[in-house]
Amino acid sequence: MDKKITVALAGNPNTGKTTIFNALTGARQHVGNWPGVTVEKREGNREHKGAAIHVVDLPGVYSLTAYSLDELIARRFILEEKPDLVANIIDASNLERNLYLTTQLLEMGIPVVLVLNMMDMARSRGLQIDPEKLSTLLGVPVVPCIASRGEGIDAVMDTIVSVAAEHKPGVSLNYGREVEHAISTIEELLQNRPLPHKATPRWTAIKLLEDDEDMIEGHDEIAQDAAISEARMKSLAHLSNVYGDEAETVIADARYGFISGLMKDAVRKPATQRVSMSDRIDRVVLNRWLGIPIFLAVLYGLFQLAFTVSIPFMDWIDAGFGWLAERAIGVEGWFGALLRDGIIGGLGSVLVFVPVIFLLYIALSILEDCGYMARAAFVMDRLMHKIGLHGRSFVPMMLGFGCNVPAIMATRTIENPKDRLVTILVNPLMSCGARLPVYALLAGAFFTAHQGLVVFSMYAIGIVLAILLAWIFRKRLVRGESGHFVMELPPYRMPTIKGVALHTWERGRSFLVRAGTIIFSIVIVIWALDYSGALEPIGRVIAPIFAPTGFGQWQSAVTLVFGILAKEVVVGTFGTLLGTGEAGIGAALGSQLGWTPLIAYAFMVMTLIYVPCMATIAVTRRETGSWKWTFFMIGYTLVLGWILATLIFQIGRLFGG
Amino acid sequence: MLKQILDRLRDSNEPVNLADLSRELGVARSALDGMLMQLVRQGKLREVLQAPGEDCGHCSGCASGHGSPIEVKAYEVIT
Repeated sequence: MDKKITVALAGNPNTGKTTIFNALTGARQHVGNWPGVTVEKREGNREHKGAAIHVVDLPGVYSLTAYSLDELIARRFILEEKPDLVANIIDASNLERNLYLTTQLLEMGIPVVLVLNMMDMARSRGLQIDPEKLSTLLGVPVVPCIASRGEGIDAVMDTIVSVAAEHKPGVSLNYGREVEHAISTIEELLQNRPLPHKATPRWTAIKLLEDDEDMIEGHDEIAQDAAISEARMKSLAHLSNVYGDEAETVIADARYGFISGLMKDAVRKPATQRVSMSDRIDRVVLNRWLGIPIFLAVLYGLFQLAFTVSIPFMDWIDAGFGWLAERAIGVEGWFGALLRDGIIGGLGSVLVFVPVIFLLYIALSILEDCGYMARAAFVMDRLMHKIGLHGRSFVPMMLGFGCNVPAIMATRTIENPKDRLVTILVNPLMSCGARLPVYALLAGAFFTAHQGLVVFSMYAIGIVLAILLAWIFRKRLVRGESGHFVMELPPYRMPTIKGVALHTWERGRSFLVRAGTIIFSIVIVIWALDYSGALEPIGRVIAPIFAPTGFGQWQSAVTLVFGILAKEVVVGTFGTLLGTGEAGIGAALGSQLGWTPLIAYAFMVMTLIYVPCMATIAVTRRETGSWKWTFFMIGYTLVLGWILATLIFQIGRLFGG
Repeated sequence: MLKQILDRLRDSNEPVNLADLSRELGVARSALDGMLMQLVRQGKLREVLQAPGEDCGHCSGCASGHGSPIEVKAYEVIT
């Protein structure tokens, strides 16, 4: 016999596991006890296509928690004995319930074959299961069978032999940004150390977050390690704050969300089945034709709301800086100039946009927490699949609306390296919060009546370009098959004030920290260079490059160069160079630099596309591990930004803009 | 979904049975049964026995285990 394969049969009680075990092993069975416990252990052998298959029947369980002995036995066997694969026996007529165990088997990182038993019963209940789709989405083979009639047993055997040869695990579940962050924090601490039951660091991290008794009480070396314990407690407190529930419930909910997405994609239920409120809303927001227009309308409404509501708050802050500027008039010499043009003009013009940024983040947090953002990603996923891209790519792209740095880090959830690289390369095209002050400033000054629409157009251009370029890169630069995945669809729920506040603060805080540190420092340096007269000659050397775009003035050139350090600096630099606060920048751009609405729009497009900020460049280098792809990103964004800005300005001029 | 179940049961002054919960939340009974079991194990819910209503669907939640619905399982939040 060439090959020896150990296969564990796992499944819920009453799924026909025993029937399948008998069909697989015939009369060659051995009954013993599980080590240490008096629970029956059945084993059997079979030869198939030159392979000696050893089948171990695990106790029937609904999940793999530490709540019951049966579940502990099943999971310890899988972890410690490391069978070549697990054949997960599923009652196809109760698919939704049975898939919960499947999600836990996938988490263990072991190869799985899904055996859809009782297909006849599923059909009689009107369920239309698409095994191929299910297989693609779970990343494991799916074999339909009717074990009671012996139908499909040969196919199960064939699949067991081929899967054992490949030894490829299925998909890895994504638990959402907050939980994934907590998992990776603990996972990092668990690297390079012996883990209980020879488990993987990720699985152990999940169990620690789930407060798994076996892991916490049975393994002091892990649970009582100071660093792990601190990270765990901190993560549990954070998750509880954000979700208003224990991490265990949040993780279980994410698994049910995954199953819900899976069922929507791969199973058709009888029309008479009662639909929930979530299903009713989904029928509209996930509609093939309405889904994308609704998503765009939601985005548009979000910007309109943020800009309309923030106006009085921005006016108050502006008035505050105006009052400070008046007091600074009396201060003479270089320090007076630093106060007026550097700190008040530069930093003040950035801080004025705090209200609009926070309002936008509040709105985004509400959409995320109520469950709509997952739907938006689902809708875009469908579109992206049509053009041959990985659907999971859109999740990090959506995160890019906040900041491109965590968004690029979130691409770690994409298993296919080619899909991941393309997603990283196009991520800077998703307009981050740091670019918002530039749009808000220019839209407010040059497009007063339509500022919400103009800002919305920047985000829309970013999304369209990202999808278009991802498609081009996938076809021309990084060819290869794209992966599939299941979009988790959590039920809609009312966002909590605490959750929204926390998410908003997490995003907004980085803006304030950057304003007080990086932006403040850069604005001072720019002021010093300008005050000493060193800035203008540099700007005049670069400016001709931007002449075809309409913003070929040295001040604009300098602004774009410093904008590479941090995008918010663009506004601050204008404030410093034009010697005015936020309220005066728009007028000064018109009177001092001759800007028109057309030039302002071209400049906004340039700011959207050209070279991402230093932090994004650094994280791109780290995540791709390649300077080649990092420089490619810098190069293509610069060229693309310049070409589009030039086209907008030149074509706009033809139409009298 | 677990949060929805908990919210629904917290809003209710009396235990809610599987059939009613399934109907209200639009989740298949077998799937919902698994979720409820999870919450019971976590110590968030407890099972209680309830006399069946008129529209008891003879579901798997029947506590008698003999196919005749004498009492059905219902759930309430542990406070």
